[in-house]
Amino acid sequence: MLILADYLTLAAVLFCIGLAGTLTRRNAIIVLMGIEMMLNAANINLVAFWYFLPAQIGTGQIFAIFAIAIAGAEAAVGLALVIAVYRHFRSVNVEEITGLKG
Amino acid sequence: MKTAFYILAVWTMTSGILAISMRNMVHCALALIAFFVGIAGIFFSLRAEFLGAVQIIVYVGAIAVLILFAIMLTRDITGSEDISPFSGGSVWGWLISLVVLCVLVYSLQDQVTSAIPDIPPGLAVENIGQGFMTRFAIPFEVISLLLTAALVGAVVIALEEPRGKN
Repeated sequence: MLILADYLTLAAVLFCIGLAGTLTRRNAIIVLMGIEMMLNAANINLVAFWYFLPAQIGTGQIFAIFAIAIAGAEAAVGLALVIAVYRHFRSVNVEEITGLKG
Repeated sequence: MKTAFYILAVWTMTSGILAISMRNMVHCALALIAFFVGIAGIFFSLRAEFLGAVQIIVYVGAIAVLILFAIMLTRDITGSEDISPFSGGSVWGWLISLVVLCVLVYSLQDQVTSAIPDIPPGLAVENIGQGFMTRFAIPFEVISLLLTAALVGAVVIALEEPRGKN
């Protein structure tokens, strides 16, 4: 029988995989991919709480939909920033992008 | 139920690890798509069918394509094959994420265990729509404003700089 902790553990593992990708990769696009993975792991938590705990109808799912919308906005702005940074520095390596003023 | 959960867990973890560890960027993006599909499967197994469909449409349909476009637009043709894809201080990154994982799993030990509800709370799309129109009407409007602002902002940021500036 599956319990809530199973889903929460899976979400924790996926969150940490995304965190590791964000913290260890050089490429800015993979850093953004890690952030998307962390947001997805958080969504699993929301839906699992909705499924297992007595709550008001649909609250967890509605919150997860809001999180997906925020993630969409974040991905659009983040990738636009990556493209603008690439045009300026000719690189998306986060270790080479060190100057704030061009 | 249990088998499906374990298959999905192994699927998402494998594709997630591949997505952050492979050298080729396009392969990373494809592994990320597999990860998103696995998350949608977990939503389906939790009886959140609408959310699973939204996950596939938004992530697999839109965000994955956006990421692939960004990879194609910023591809370093000169090649950086000889340098490691991981940053210099990446040991600290692995260490921090391992510590976070240990803390999260440890904190899950104390929580109340609850079995699956007898009657799974199947939620119609109708209820979600009614929630958006009644109780969550103001957040719904705010999120649409945010999405519009993000759309305009993304276009402004990614616009070509005027030639005269350089």
